[in-house]
Amino acid sequence: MRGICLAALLLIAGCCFAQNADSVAEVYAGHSLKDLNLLSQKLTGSLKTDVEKFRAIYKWVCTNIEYDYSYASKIKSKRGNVSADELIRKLVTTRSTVCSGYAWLVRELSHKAGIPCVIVDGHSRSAGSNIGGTGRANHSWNAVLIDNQWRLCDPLWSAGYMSSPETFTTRFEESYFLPDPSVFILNHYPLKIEWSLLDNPPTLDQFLNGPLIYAEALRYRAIPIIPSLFKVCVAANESVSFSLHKPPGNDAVKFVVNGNDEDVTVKDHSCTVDHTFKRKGTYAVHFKVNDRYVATYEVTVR
Amino acid sequence: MEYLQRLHPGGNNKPMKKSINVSLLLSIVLAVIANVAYSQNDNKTAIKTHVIAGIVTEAETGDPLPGVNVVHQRSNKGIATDADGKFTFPFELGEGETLAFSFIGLDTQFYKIGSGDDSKITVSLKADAAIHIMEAAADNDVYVPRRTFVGAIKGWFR
Repeated sequence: MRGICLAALLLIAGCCFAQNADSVAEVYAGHSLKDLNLLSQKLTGSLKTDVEKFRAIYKWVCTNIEYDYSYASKIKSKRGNVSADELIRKLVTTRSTVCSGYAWLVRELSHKAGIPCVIVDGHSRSAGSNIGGTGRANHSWNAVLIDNQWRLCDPLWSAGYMSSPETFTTRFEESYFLPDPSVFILNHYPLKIEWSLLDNPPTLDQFLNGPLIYAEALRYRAIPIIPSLFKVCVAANESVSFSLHKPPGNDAVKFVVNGNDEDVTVKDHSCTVDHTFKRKGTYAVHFKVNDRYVATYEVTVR
Repeated sequence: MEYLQRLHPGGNNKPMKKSINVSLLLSIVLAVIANVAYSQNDNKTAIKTHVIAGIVTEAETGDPLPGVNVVHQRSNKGIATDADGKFTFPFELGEGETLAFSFIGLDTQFYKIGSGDDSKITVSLKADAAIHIMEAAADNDVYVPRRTFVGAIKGWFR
């Protein structure tokens, strides 16, 4: 309870401070990366609290660094055989990089502002990666120490998304800035499990085989709980329950199967839908909050 | 205020000001008692707690490190090591709890509290580990089940 109150307070405080910090980040748009001390000083010098300072750094990195798709494929094919020096040199000269470059820059700028920050490596999960299987460590993000509390964030996933297999679209995603660790763990599984910041983290196997979530799940703190597995197998005409955990609010929750939306009401922090599949086949079943996809299951009807 | 409503379910109470005042007072007293009882319970959990103290050093040179952040993960309480790199955590902790030791430019270390004596622990911090280079971007695509060849052909006849 205390944790939730603190998180809510931090969120409210964060929103109030964000404007100020965000405008600082905007003032220095396009600033060079040649002198990181200078950049960090400019971004944080006028701000008082660590949360404001970190926000300015984070917002600047997310809005001024570009994701380099071709470099990412090169790294993927070389299986990490790119040196850190080369990565940093490329980032400083071209202001484009991959996730590890974003995480490195957030860490360096935070350190120069006196804020402890680390790079967290691990597995990220999306429609195209780490669904089932044995898992592949493919992503880096950050943990930051603010007001004696470690918090998480993902600068690359806040910077934008792949809108087609080869195009990166820049759009700031608020969901990945200091999210609730219990939702963040559903698509970010650290190699060092302490960085989940959870008392009872799931196992890697549970992570790889659990329901799939999207950025909006973090925004609405929506957690799919039943079924616990992403792949569900049922017989035709057999009823199956789907349940989403979500704090109460005025958000419209919908259950989507076969392209048909069905309104769902949230009661006591959760909403449950019983559905019967009549025909054999493979279906994607989704939950939507305010018309944004938050979670997906794959149901095979035999 | 929600808990006050829960103490007085239904709306059948007579609209007497006095009785409302009395019941309000009573519920506040009850809430305070419950709170005290709860916090006492919190301190005297079944797990035995003990003092955590020691020194933080730099791994390469062995020199003591002043100003290292020592943070208890669950309570967000923390302190920093003194000029000699020493610390005594402000309250006792039980087995299985975690302390994080962090210092700018060095790799953060976690210390899991055991059942034995933790009053003279040594934690050494190494320089930031080399960057592991990863590449995944957010794709934000909504999942679409992969269609098998047989499934696709079946689809024609639906």
